[in-house]
Amino acid sequence: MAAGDARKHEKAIDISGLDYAFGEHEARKQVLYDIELAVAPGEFAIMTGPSGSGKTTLLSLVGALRRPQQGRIVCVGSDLMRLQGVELEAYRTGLGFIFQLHNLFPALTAFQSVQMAADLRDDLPGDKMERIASLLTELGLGERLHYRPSKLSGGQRQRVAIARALVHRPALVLADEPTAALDSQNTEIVLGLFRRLARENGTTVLMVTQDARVFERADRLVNLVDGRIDSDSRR
Amino acid sequence: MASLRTAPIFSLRLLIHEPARLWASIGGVTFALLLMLLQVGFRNALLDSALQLLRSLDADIIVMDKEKKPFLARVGMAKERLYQAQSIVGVESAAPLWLSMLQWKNMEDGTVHPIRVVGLDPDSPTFLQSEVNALIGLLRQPGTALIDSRSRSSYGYVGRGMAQVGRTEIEIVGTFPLGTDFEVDGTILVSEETYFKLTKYQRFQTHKLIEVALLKLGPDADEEAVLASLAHHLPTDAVALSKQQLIERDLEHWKSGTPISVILMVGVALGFAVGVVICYQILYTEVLDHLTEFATLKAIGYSDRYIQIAVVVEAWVLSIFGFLPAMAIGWTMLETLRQLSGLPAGLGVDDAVTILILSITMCTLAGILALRKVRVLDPAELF
Ligand SMILES: Nc1ncnc2c1ncn2[C@@H]1O[C@H](COP(=O)(O)OP(=O)(O)O)[C@@H](O)[C@H]1O
Ligand SMILES: [Mg+2]
Repeated sequence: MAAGDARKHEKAIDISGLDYAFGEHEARKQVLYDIELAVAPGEFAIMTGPSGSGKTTLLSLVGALRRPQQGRIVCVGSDLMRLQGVELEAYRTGLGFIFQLHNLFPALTAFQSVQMAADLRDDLPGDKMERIASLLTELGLGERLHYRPSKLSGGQRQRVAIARALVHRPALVLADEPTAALDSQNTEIVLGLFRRLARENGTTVLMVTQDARVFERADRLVNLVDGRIDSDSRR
Repeated sequence: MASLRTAPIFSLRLLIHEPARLWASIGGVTFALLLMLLQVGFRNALLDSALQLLRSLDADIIVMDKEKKPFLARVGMAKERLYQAQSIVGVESAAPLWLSMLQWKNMEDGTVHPIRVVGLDPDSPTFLQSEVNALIGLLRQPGTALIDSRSRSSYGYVGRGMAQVGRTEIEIVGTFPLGTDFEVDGTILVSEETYFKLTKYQRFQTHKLIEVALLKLGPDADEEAVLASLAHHLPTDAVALSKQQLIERDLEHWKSGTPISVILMVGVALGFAVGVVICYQILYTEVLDHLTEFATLKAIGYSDRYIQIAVVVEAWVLSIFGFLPAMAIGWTMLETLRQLSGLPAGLGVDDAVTILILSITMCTLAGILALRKVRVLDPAELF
């Protein structure tokens, strides 16, 4: 199982010789070339780079939403080249996805949205309802637990989506520009949550951002340019 | 494994969130079910009305010409068969019945309408209705008749008094309850003598013929044995069937052998198809509008099955909440029709169950069709 304490694996993300191309034949367009990337459990890695360089694509490969044509990709103990069916579902349950768009159900309140993610896991310690409420409160939504997306601002929706991704204490958080819609105060809160999850749970965070202000908060800074890793620095 | 337990609640939340759409969807399902319900009701009316005369006869076994089918078709049989049947061991009594069709004159507006004329022997048990048996003695007086109190309003005044049937004046001396059918607007009962007086202008009417013989068995008689004995002793131009056998044979005839019944079945099938299309439209739009959210569910680890269950539960909710108003409206419409036409166009519990099952099947089918879209959902497009 990918879930639970992520520290039991030597590497949270272990990628080597990874190529990825969209389309086939004449339409084939390679966007990732020979990626080598190893991220340790509990590490907070930021991936940056110009638009169109392949950051989102790499994130979706790590999230097992796509399958690479070439290379090795093993994350929190699962070989993503082989993952299928129930194991694939289980792998995804062990992740926390934060998409560029929040993708919240208009019919569900903030609380219910987060509960959808929490319901996937029966092995969470403590009271589930309390955990959901306190996480949302921590994200400044304590007053809006039972609001639907239509009654929330863009930043509030994004924070609901973040709570949904974190509530089950995933082994690996994959976040695509999660703070783009947030002010600096809320950005701080979210980064603080990432850090705490890393410390308490060994959660690994791979976060795409263009926001230079948050670079200094990361353990790792990976720069992707034209589908290749241009620089990779530990801080 | 993602838990499937919460799928129905999730599905209800999706439905309730958009009340306007929910009402429109329920309305669509109701409409389709109403189409089916009315067809079923009409079909019941056809079957029940075509059988009501036969059902009300007081007989264990009925002997008739072998060509007579269904029971309401008029085919004469030699009167001798009545006496032959009467002599069979186990037969306690045998009563003749005559059947004809004449025109009833509406005295209020002068129009004429078809009426069934049933001739009987006032001294033999013929009908089960106590109303008939209480008044049957009156028919011994020639030129008198009992009339169906449930006759259609096209007859004008229906009750005691003088009336004109065919070219003959008769006196109505009482009423009994029966009901109309697709052939006639009502029925009168008369004695043998009056019957021949009324029908003397019709061809083929002769005292040598009766329509059927109604047999009652003795208390110890074995119906099977009597039927076998009748089959053995009667000439081959006649057949003997128990009343129940004849009812079943007639039911079969009206169900599958008549164009109108087939048309009504096609109507049910059409209602079903319309229902599937409506439901599909509803659920497909529902799925389409939530495509990215469903993809998100898949991305965070929910199975296809979870989404399938959610959509199918939505379909079931629609099918049940569409069923209830359809039942209420359909029942009211058929009841109104029954009162206006005298046709027994009712709905039984078995019909309600059938329609409910059809409704659930219809919506489930539509849900499964709408779900094809979810199966090809690619959560990768979300990032
Ligand atoms: N579904 C797709 N089909 C074809 N090309 C795509 C698709 N998604 C992204 N690309 C292309 O792949 C490249 C990398 O895109 P992306 O990973 O989104 O970059 P980034 O997130 O760094 O901006 C871009 O050139 C983009 O046009
Ligand atoms: Mg991107």
